[in-house]
Amino acid sequence: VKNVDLVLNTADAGTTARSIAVVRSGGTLVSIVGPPDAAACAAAKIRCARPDRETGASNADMLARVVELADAGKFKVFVDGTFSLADAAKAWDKSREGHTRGKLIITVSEGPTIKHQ
Amino acid sequence: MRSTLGLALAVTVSLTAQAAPEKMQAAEVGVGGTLSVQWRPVPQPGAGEVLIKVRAAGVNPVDWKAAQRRLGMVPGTDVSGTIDSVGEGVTDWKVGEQVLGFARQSGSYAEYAVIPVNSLARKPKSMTFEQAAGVPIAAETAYRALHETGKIARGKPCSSMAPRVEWVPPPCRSPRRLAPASSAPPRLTITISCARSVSTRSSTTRARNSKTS
Repeated sequence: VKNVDLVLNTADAGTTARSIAVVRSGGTLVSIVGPPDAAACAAAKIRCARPDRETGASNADMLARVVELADAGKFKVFVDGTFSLADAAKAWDKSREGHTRGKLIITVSEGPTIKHQ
Repeated sequence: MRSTLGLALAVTVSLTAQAAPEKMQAAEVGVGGTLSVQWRPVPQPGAGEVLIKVRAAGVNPVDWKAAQRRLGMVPGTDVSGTIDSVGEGVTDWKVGEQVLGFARQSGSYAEYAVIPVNSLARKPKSMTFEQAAGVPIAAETAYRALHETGKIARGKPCSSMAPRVEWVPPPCRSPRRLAPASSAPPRLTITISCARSVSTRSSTTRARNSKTS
């Protein structure tokens, strides 16, 4: 892979370093797993950046837009596994393996039930 | 007749018994990143916050990566549920509303969680609570990393585009091929990015493939 416009690195810091080589001159490398080396980015003439919660839209605005997209059917959430609260540690084990094909979810409550006296 | 009366009475009891109990069950981080279920006090919503009865909590790698910093606390950020009570000054949200959001402070692996209203959104009608609990961090990754920071816009090379607010995505052609093999956030980010007509490749998948070949 080379001459890529934009790389989003979610893997690890080692991938951040390797990613610099595949971004085209003038392209962008966004990393959410550690800051790219500024000098290497400058040498490769690419823009390196990290997402910034402070300067962007508020979380509420961001979520509201994403919810609109979901209701419009523009994306779906794939649930790869559900766990009880007691099995949360198993969910972490699976997450640490790093080979999920969707979200891991802890089902905390099944919802309201009519309480009897 | 008698059974109808009994049912009506039971429903009344459940509706009036909306206030959260004092204690709840919650996962707690132990030494070495272990988890155990403990009884803990139900957190109280402060000004500008809501307390939700948690239906589902999303698991993200950051949860266990941050375990050392949350020793003795409840882990988890992503959460969905129904509003149980609202804190001072909260006027836009009502008890019983179905929501999702970020419970960074209180933690989400628990029967109750506190969400600041600036981290709260209604649950998409089309989603189950489980699906909704998978949204916040993945959505933030997609939105901030690709849209705000990456400045992706539809149908334009990334170099020459201005940030766009609206998303009008056509369907993905082959999201499965593009989905990386790692954790969940990339799945949503890739889906949204190819939904926005930007040519994408998964660097994580490539990197992993090159390691094994």
